[in-house]
Amino acid sequence: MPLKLSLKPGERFVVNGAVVRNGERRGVLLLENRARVLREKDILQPEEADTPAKAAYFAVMQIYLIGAASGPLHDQAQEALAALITTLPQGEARSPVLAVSAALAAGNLYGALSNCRKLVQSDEALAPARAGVA
Amino acid sequence: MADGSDVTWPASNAAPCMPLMEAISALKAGKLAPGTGIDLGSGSVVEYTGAGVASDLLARLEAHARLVAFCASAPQEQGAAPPPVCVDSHAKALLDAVASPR
Repeated sequence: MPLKLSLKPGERFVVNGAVVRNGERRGVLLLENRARVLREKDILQPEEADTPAKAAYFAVMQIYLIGAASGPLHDQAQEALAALITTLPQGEARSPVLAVSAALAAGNLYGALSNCRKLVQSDEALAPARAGVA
Repeated sequence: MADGSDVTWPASNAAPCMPLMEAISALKAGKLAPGTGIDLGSGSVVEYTGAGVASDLLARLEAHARLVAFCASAPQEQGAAPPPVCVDSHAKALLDAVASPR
């Protein structure tokens, strides 16, 4: 089943290392096979990786964009995940981070990035409460 | 008496999964059979498909095992700063292209 991408005018996305931009009208693309696709709104710039969760997302995102099977990008991602783990209490709260690592180990880069995105969303949801405590 | 009614078979007759540390040892020794499933925890399983992927897979499995061990013992730190970000040169070209003015 193809992946359907509904694109806004001028919206950018990356497909297997190519940066593609939609034209001046809304558009729809169908990807007929599996590929590493990431929309502009899901691409984090390095200066935006200002929390442990976003740093982990950025590291995993780089692996996904490049399609790296192992190497320095994976090392960086594991270090970022380890840093994220220390922000969480011991026990079940750390399981989602291990799920990201497990997906990376399995070579499931989309799953790793998807799980990491949820971590960022959870972290952002908790941010107001943390700010209230501080 | 066991008559089979109390036996739960793995879904789709999949091969049983090997624990992570056992798989790492077998892979290092070159004794992991292709087709073996490796249990990564978190409901993730990866199948070893053969020697062509052994090096990359071993590196990823060892990294995951280190993180699992770290996760079990690392104390929580309040207000930890994010680690420094390293930008891969290939990724930088993509990120710059995405961020460039239209």
